[in-house]
Amino acid sequence: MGDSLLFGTVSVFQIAVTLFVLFALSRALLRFKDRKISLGTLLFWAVVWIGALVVLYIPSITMPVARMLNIGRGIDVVVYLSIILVYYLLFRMYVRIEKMEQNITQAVRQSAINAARKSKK
Amino acid sequence: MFTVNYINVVGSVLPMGNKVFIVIPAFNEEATIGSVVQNLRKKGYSSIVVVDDGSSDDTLSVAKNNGARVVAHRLNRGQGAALQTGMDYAVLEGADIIVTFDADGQHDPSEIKEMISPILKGEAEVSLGSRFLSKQSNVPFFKKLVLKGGVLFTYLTTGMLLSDTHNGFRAFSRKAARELRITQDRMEHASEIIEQIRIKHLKHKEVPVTIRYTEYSRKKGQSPLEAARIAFRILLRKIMT
Repeated sequence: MGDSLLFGTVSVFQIAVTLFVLFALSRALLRFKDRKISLGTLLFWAVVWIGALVVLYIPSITMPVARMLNIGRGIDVVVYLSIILVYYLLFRMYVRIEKMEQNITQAVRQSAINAARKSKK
Repeated sequence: MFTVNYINVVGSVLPMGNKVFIVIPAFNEEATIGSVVQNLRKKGYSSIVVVDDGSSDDTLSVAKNNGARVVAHRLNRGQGAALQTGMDYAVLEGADIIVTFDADGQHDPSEIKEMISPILKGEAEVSLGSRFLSKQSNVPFFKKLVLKGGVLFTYLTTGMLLSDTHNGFRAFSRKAARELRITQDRMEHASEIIEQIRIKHLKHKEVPVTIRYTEYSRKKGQSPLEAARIAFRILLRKIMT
């Protein structure tokens, strides 16, 4: 694998990840165009994916951060941050789904009670 | 007003005009719901509310044909949600006491009197039925293990030590029913009710009841695996929120 030389040697792995990132970015862009996601969300994903590309091609860029956090290798910083990010997203999804479930129950309950009370009169 | 007049036979009116509502959450219980409603009516209870929790079978019409009022969830939302719906409905309809009752024929309608007596006497706002206080309930060994696990779990998570936390036979005063808010839609509601009793300082009392174990109820009961899943979901929710 080409170490830190920008575009020195490009590995198959880098090409595959790059293609995937471009695909993911295009999906995000399309969903933004369809107004399915907000500008903020688009920017969030853009930063995440472009950040991934930067680290992919210039892994040494993570070294200063690693040193600052007292973590041995730069790649470890990336892995740790990714795990934290994934957990954060899971948490948000959990809260969202929970809220949605409660709203559905509320709606089902309201309509059930209304119908029952109306039919009695 | 001070004369005690039992009109128990005529309707669900008890001493001093207390209106008793029986709330029965039911999901696909067409086989048993009819006789459960019938037996309650034989005991003189007329305000019987069956909450059909989006059943795919004939629970709704069977309950209706047997003289119950039916509140129907369009989608299945779980037993906790159905209980809350039934209680909301009963409160709106002017209930003074709300008794929750299982749809599978496990509970004995003649024990409702004992369940509501602490509330009528003002000794408690909530009565909790317990199959472990009386000796008649022949609780299968494995079932007992799971239930006692539930008791221990509830004690560890809510600090309330009771003998039977997962028993659907309960009675609430109007005040308690209005204060209680079940937000756990599914089976986790049993622990939640106990937790709320503590948080809202509702006076409670455990009342011995008998549970009839039949082949049918055994099939419908919670498996240990499901119990573990419920416990996991409660802990997850505690961590996440």
